Amino acid sequence: MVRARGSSVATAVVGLVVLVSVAGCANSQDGEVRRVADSFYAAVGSHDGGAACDALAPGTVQELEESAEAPCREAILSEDLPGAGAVGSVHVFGTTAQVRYGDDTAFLSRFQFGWRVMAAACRPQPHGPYDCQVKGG
Amino acid sequence: MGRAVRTFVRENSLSLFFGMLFAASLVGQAFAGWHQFNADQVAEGLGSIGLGSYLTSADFAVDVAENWQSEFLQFWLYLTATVWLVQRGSPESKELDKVGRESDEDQLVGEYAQDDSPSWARGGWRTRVYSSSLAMVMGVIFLASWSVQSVAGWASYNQTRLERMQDPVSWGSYLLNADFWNRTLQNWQSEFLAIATMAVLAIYLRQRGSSQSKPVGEAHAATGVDG
Repeated sequence: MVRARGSSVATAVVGLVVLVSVAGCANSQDGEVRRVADSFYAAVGSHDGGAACDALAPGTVQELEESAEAPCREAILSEDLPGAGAVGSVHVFGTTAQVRYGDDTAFLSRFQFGWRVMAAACRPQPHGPYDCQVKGG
Repeated sequence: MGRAVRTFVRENSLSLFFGMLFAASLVGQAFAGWHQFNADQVAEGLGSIGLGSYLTSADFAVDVAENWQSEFLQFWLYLTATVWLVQRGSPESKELDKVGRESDEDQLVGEYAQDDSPSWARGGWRTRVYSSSLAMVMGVIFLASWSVQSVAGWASYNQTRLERMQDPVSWGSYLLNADFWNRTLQNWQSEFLAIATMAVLAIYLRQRGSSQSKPVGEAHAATGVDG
């Protein structure tokens, strides 16, 4: 007969408690995600290209500069992004996040130096992913 | 190493051996999974994370939990199915005429309890509980592991969706999602195959000295005989 030992069961129970705490960990990063997204849209709204680029992910900065053939601080303002509107909801899962505004949606990713905007000015599509005016390569 | 320690190690070698294999495998999985996660992140132009962050991530939790739930489901099903189902010639089965929960005399409970029987075998509600305690614990761990898989798998699935700039789905939707059932069933099928294979191959094949095999010279038709 295949048999299980008591010590194995005890180990499993302890492990499960750890797993439940990990998986059930509420997203305490909602505030930081919202702050970074808000700072990006605020910088765009006040025509501060440098501050807007500080909130962008490295891949997004690179894509912007390559496609506009201009420094990020100029390229981001030339996109003429629409206003985002009021924050509707924040969803954080692991190293990625989505911030929904009244008129816009942004996607963020967590790096070792903090959360950064991966894609902005995103519009939902009937089928498939969002269509984003600003995004990484 | 003192004599008492040597005796303890020898008398508990099975638990210690598999306990150490478990720990070593889990550590190996942690490092391999961490490197794989970061390689995927870099390929997507996303940030890499430290080992601590990975160990508390949904990706690690779902990879662990989906395997645990299937193992404990296997044990739970095996314990309960072998009460009622038998396999002629298999050491994994009890004797063919003992189908069912068997008599109190067979099970040494109530008035048939012996001096060294567990105290909960002496009758009453405690004996009813204790009579199914192993399956109950296995079943509870299975359900807990499966629940953790559903939550961690949901978080991991949504992380991938956000990377692809798609809306996240609710936990309820995830329970009907192909990702949840693919993770679940791919583990279940391997457990069921292993049990069925062991039950049948042990009719005809032997492993000398193993408690999981019949004695080498035992007849193929002999049922319920452990080595």
